[in-house]
Amino acid sequence: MRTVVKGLFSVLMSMALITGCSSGNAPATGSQAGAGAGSEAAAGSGAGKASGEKTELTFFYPVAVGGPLTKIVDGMAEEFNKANPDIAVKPVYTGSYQDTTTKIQAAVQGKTPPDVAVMLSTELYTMLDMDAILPLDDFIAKDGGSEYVNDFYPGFMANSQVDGKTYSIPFQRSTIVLYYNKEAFKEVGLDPEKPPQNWDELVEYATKLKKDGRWGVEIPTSGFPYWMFQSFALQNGKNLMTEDGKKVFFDTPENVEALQLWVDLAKKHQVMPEGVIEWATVPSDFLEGKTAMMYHTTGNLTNVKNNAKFDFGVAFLPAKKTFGSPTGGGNFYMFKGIDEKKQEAAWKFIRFMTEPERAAQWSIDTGYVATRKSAYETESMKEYVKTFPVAAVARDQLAYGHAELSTHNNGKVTKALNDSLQAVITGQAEPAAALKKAQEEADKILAPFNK
Amino acid sequence: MGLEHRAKWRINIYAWLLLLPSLIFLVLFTFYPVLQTVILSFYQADLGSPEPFFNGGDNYRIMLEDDVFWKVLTNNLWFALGTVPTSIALGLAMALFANKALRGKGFVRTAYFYPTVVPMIAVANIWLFIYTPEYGALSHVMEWFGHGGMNWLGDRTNVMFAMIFMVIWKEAGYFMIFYLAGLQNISKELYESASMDGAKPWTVFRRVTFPLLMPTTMFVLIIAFTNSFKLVDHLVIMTKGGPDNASNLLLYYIYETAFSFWDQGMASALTVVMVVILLLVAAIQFFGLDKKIHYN
Amino acid sequence: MAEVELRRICKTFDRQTVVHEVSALIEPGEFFVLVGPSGCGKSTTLRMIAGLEDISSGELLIGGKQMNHVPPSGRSISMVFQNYALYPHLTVKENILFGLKVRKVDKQEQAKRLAHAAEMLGISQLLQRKPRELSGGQRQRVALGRAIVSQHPICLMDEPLSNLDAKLRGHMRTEIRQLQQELGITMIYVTHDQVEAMTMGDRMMVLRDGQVQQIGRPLDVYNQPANLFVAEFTGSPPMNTVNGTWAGDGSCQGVVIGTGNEKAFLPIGYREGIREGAPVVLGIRPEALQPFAAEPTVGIPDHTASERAGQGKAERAVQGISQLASLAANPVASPAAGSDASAGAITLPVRVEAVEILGSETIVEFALAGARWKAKWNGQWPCRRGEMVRVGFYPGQICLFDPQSGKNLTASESKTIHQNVLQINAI
Repeated sequence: MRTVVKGLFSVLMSMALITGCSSGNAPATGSQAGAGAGSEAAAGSGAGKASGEKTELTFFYPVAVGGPLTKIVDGMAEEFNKANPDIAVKPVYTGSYQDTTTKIQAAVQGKTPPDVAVMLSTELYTMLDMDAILPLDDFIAKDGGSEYVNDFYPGFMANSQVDGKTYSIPFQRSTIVLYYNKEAFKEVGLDPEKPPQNWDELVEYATKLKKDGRWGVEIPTSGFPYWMFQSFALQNGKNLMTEDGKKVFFDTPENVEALQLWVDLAKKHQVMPEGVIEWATVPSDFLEGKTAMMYHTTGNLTNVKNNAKFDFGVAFLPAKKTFGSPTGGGNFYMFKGIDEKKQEAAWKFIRFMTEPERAAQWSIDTGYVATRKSAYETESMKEYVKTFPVAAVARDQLAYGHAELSTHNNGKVTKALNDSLQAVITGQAEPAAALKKAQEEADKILAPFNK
Repeated sequence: MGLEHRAKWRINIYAWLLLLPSLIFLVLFTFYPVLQTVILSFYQADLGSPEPFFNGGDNYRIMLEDDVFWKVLTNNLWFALGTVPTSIALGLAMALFANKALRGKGFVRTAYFYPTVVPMIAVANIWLFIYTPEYGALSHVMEWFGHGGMNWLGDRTNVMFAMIFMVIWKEAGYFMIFYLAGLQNISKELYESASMDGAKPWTVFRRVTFPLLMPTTMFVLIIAFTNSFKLVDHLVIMTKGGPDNASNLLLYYIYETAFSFWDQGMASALTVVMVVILLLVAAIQFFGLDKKIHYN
Repeated sequence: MAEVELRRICKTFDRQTVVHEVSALIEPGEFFVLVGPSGCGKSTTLRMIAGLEDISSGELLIGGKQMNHVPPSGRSISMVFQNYALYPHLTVKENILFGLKVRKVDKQEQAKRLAHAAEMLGISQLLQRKPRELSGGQRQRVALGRAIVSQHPICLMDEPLSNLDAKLRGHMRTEIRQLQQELGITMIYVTHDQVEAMTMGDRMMVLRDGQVQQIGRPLDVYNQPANLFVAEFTGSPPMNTVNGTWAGDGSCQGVVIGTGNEKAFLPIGYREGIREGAPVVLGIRPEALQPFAAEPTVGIPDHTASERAGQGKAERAVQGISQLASLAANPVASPAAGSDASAGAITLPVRVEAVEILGSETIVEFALAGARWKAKWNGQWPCRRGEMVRVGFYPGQICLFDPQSGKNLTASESKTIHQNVLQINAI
């Protein structure tokens, strides 16, 4: 009976939404219908507040991994609308991260920004330079406080904060982990419960694992090799940029050493394919047994889990001076130029979407890492980790997680690094020279922001 | 006199009215944006400058010093050089064959034309699989020759050949259609006359078919050349212009500059360069070669 | 040695026979015309001779040698196409020399032949032009030039004049004929225009639905058409034909035409092999129907159904005919006299339905026994619609056809065809 009423309610709700959207001159009817249904069905869930005008929010979101994610997001938004009858969130699927950024850019320039959106965490400086986003500190202070912010893993939060202000809230986040084929380990006499702990072991194990038709290890280097490279930089010392995003450290001796390791894996040790390795084919190679180990995003956990015909393990990335891995993925942003009521509503929505229980479910549904410590304390997550222990590896590695490379004029800076990395990988340049070139270019690009 | 003048005027008005709708669209969606682009190309409008400001020819100066710009430009020329003549020759050969084939004419034509119908994005995905090292279709074939592990898209020299080959595969069928139409326009009598004279097939092709297809060839040449500047969809899927810009092309670089670097001024300057190149090609056809090769 | 022989040649496309057992012997130096309406198979026959179409069955001999499977270039044949087949990208000179170049004829020889042909055709000043800069007649000459320089003993032409205007066509007719005689080549010429066939050919072959109707000299074909089709195909306006019945007793035989009130009896006289009451088609050429003065010879009045040929020298004076006769610019040559039906002219009073005065001749249309007839008179005859005139003809100018088979029932006619066939077989 309850489900019937619930279903009826959601139908009425969406009808109210439609009338609210389509005919601008009849918002009163829409809100009344919504409020009426709300008071009947969800008794006592703040229905009284809904008698006023309804606040409508436009929510842009991208989908970057496989699966019916739009359905899940739409479902979450609907749930939110149900719980908050005075607010109507309209989720708009906007394609890939790149498409979403482009659309938001166009909307911002056209003075009709969305109210709230999920974008790459690394778009922070770009959005700031466009003067498009709102700092969230006031909302945090009023609702949640430092308790809320500190619950997020610092490796995620680092991409949200600049100059002591918080501009975004982590949502769908990932990090890099090492996947390895336990059966291959056994086959060559390695302990399947002891993945490589450091760079030397990585080379050693990979050499052992290499045979005809199987590589020792694959590190994807197409598209955005800087992300993979960043993990090596982190392991060998420090991150690639300053926290304010105005300086980069590409040509340090440590980074040269890291890059030399990549070259050696392919050229000297011949345990990794030469040339650029396509991002999308690496998981397939791993599943096909064409490589015994791979560096890849946690976003592939579910895929590997569902498709591996062998026992596999997930581990921290091998360390040099320390463990280390950059984070990645998308955060919630709130946009300038929307009125206070909408801001409040948007914050409510962000809070709702990042609640521990929901973050846990989102992680289980998608394979993204849950962004909050408390999410791992929820029953559902505990249950999930129990049945699938490798899910905890990513969480534990977050202790060594750091901000993804993100600077002012981010597109150009990362391109400079990407091009240099690929030049080295394809044998066109020496690591030191290539990284020096990337550093010089990046300095030039960042010069206007250091005035 | 006055009446005649008025009648003339009315015909003029009528003509203009007929042209008006397309003219409005042309101005609104072609000329005006082009003009805006030209203007913007003299402004600094990037993330470092909150308000765009006039910076003279700085964008062009920086462009000329930009290694990537020269790289994508030379890439584009090689890409054109690699795709245009081969795909045209292949299109012609396919048209000749499809025209001759007695049995299964329809099938042959459809088979040849099929790659053209497939959207570039789908083509890119198909070929991404074909080019995959280890278990890609091409790798399996190459294994017979002992080169199974070729990394087609991950190698600086291979990647351009891989792109060129794919685009030829896609484009040749398109050009075949034009050549089929061109062949149909050549009178059968000419071939009969040649056969009465005892001309060999090669002579017939060299002395009759090919010269008479020159207008088609010219047209296809222009299409092919502009296409080599316009086709970049596959880069998004396959290489993102990598490795290290080895497969990057001008239009994709414009896209990167505009939507990844958010440098509107530079993107406009690059766009102007591209428009000028395409205009030059069109002008060569329009003013030069066009008149020399039409016989009828 | 350039005689061409066709032996029971057939062409079948997809089980449909378009050329059916065509046989002919074309002698060296002869101008032989294949004529017939469109779709009759004449072009297909020509193309089989050229080698552009396979021969489905039968034999083709050129100079006594079987040529069925010899490629076109091996048959010593040149061909002029309907649309001239000039290469649009080559100059006149290059067009004319194309074949010689392909055959790798010596350069000097090429120049000699070119000069000769150009002079013959009067196109020497056009040699550097492209075909699109030429008029229709000039293109025609270039196409002829190509045939001339090839120096092949046989030339095929496929409707070469159909793209020219009437005046030029007349001119080119004589020119081509002259050229053929000057060069002494064998010409096989396809046309749908019977005028061309009549004026140009030494002999003509009339084709219909892929079957030979008649082969013979143009005048023989004209005067003694083998069948109704040939009769109606040749001449302009075509032969008048009307259905009738053979009737009469021993002394006076003839044809009854028309029905009911519009019946008429024409006493033609004895014809061999036609029995009493047999249905026939009566045919008479328009120029055989001539105006006659008032004094009547034979006439069967209309409106009287009972009157038969036997009673039939009854005449009826026709109002206004004498007046007409006096108006005639060219009075009829043959006098309307004599009482013998077979020797004298048969005259009839008729009402004019339409008149076309063409200057040198006048076409008069009239109704008789339910059919429309056309008469062609020399000179200008200013008669009007509705006027009564007297027309007459000689029985010897009449053709009779079997309505079923269309065959000419005139004895001498069938003999002529027979002779032709015999002639072919003998050679």
